[in-house]
Amino acid sequence: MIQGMSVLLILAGLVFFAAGSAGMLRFPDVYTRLHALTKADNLGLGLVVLGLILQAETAAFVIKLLIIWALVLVAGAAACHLVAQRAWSRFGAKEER
Amino acid sequence: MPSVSTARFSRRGARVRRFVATLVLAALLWWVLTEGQGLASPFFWLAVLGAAGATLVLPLSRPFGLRPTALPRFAGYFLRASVMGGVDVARRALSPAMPLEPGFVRYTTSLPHGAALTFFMAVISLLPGTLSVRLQGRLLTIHVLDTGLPIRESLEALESHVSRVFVMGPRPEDDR
Amino acid sequence: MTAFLLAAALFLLATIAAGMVRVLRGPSAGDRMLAAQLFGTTGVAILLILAEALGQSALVDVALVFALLAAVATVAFVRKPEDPGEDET
Repeated sequence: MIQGMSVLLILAGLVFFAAGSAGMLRFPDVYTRLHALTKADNLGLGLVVLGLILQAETAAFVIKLLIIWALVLVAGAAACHLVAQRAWSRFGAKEER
Repeated sequence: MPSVSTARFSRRGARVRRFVATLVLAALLWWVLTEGQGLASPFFWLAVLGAAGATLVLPLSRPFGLRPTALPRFAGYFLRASVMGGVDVARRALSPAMPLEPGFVRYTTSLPHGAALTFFMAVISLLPGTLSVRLQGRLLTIHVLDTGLPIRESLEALESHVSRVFVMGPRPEDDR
Repeated sequence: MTAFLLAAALFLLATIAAGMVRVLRGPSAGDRMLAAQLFGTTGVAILLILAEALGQSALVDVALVFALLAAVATVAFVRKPEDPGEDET
């Protein structure tokens, strides 16, 4: 039962990672690609982490996985803003192509 | 910066609080990272006391407080919003028609500069369809995936959530 | 379970490869910088899954370091001194 839930969560995570990559390939400019990468991949990682937590054996390991996810969230939000700001400072609202 | 008259006392209190908080957090972090082992090793004490000791030397940052009672509600809101954000962008990326109406939105925030505003800008990038691009003074430039969405309403909702989590002290002393 | 996890890791590797097409093609420097985040997030997921599949819990610590370094990598890219011609094509 728990194994089944874990598999389902990880599979759902994979769908979002695939969507993130699809967005990176299909979206028209750097801003929209940032949306795809940040949001879809973060949710994908969150689902994978949840799936792995169901199989975890110790509380410390669960917290460790959650810390990793939180770090990726913070790093992703900061990196996303930095890249967007840089694109804006060079190209402004004009689409960067 | 705290005002001059109370500075000496409040600074000392802030330092002690920060020392203890760092000590506890570092010990917890060690416990998590080693998965419960090595709590007796001398390296544990070296690392934890070193981390806490560093806060005595480093300058104090602009003070801000968190309201612990507001955190669960924010966590719920944040998780729901980030799931919606992921689902929304995944749907657009995978659908053959790829519905996008990208554009820029300007938004003037009332949050004071500092931790709360930084946090606000970071969370914007994880919410459905919004991405913080630039901050000038209090004017935010935000990129949106779909200009048809109620962007202003969701930004206002986020802003009020953030201002409930952060305790913002009297601002005049902060801003000078 | 192990077979499923290994397949999942392989699938994630494929999504990195797909994303790399955009990184290689650019066209702008900003697009290439997405590589740091792509490897940061998806790489962490792969490492966590492999740690479980192979029973190598040390890989979780590698993932932790990846998560920390991804942010530093992006900052380094963005702060890189301008060099002429990086936005050609």
